Amino acid sequence: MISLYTDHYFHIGDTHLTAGKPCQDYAISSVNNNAAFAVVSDGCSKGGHTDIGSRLIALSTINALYEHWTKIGEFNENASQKIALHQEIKLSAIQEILGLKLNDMYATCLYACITSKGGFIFMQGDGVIVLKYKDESLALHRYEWMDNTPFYPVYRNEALTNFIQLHGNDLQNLRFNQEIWIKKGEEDFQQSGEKINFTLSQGIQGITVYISEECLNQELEFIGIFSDGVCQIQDVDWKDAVVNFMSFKNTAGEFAKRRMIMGIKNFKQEGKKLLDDIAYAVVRIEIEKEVS
Amino acid sequence: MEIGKIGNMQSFQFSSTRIDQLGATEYTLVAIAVDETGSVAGFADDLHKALVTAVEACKKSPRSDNLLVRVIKFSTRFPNGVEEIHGFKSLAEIDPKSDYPMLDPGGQTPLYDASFSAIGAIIAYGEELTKNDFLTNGIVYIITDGVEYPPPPNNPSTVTPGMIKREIDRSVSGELLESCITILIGINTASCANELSAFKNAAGIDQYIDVGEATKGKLAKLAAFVSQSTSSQSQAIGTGGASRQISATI
Repeated sequence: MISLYTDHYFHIGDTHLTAGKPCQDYAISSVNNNAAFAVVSDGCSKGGHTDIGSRLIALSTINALYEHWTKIGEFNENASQKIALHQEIKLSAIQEILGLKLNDMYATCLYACITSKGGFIFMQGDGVIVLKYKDESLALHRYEWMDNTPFYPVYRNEALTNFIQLHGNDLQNLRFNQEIWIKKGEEDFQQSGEKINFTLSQGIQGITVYISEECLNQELEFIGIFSDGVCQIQDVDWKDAVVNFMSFKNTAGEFAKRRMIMGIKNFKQEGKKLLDDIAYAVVRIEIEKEVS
Repeated sequence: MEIGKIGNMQSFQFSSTRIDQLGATEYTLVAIAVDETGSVAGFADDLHKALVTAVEACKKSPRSDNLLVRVIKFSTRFPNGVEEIHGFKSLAEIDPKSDYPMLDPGGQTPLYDASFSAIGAIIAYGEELTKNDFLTNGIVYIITDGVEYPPPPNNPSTVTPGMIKREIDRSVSGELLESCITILIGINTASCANELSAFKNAAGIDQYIDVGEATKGKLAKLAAFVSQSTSSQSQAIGTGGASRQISATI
């Protein structure tokens, strides 16, 4: 039997702290009716009130995930499109009620939805996805946009046109890439293959990483999703930062929050600042062996 | 609950909530050591009431979910001088009115052992919590109406004030907890205030507070002091230092 647990945390970066800006990253997670949901959103620092935007993106996403799970009961290949539609409906309504501008909502959206039958991780924007196994091995997927200009799910009409123009005005341009790094036990990280380049069109549609039921049963213990703030810790390689934040000492309650708070504290004591806001959400998978 | 030891001293054990049962990010560890020697007989009921009131007030604190409390009594009537009423556990699991039996005063005063048990357990458990990513600080209240008795060299305690001080120094130099405030509280101690003050200095205890006479009013103020100081220390977690809002008097 598979049991699922989640936790999340977000923390303001030093740049925003000293500039008097709020944290524009947000994370939320929960387990609902035997399904685990984890969402991270990173607001654009050049946007409007994107601290609010990132919260609204994350909250509308997790709400859309609940509804989908409650009504449909599974996360199949078309789920991300349906979830995106529900999310858009909610966001449009909230934006109008609160009188928000489109640039207040410029924020990425990265989420995981996992059940005992598997699930998927979906990304529109940038960030890092981590799979950690019981034997401590790790698979890290890092996603980046050229010129640090990620896609935001709320882009439409003129904003979408501008975004496409910024990326060379050709939907087939290769503007979004993925690199995968694997670490087994105590060995160093090894890059798995070459960087994969995606077209602008693929980046806009979003990237899906499927998690099969078999994968869950093959000793997968944690799924972590990070905003790109994990790649912006002074003098810390992003992979080492991910390993640090995924090295949980215990797993009760606010296990991810504890680890990241302590990790950030230790980095700061070493003079390593958070140059950007950071957020992460983690799903923990626990398999209880059935007694025969 | 699980059993821990202070240093390698088998005679100094304490019980505590298993770390894998703790869900928050930070905890303030609270230790209350209450004198149950023969000389408190005249105000035992009020002292008991002060203990119950203090812990009940802590339950109402906005920080109550982040407090783990241990209560011990001390007297030479107990094996090793100390009896644990309960180990470190959350306030939700404590019902002071039913969990704290009326005091049954008797015996003489192993003040050094009581202090070592109260302080050492916080440091030992705090060290484990810190290693497990919990932000942790502590506050200790040692409530007594007298000095170590019989006095040295025939005193009942197995530890010395110097050993208490070394334990406190270890926690500071090793950064085992974010901070730990230790408070020695004297009731009806006008005749031995100087000795208690000397003990406080020799043991490295932060404060000695003389409550004065053991009246209902003073003991009620003691209860309020304990809960307010606990809240202040709990709010100081994450600041890197101890609370600076602990009153110097009751």
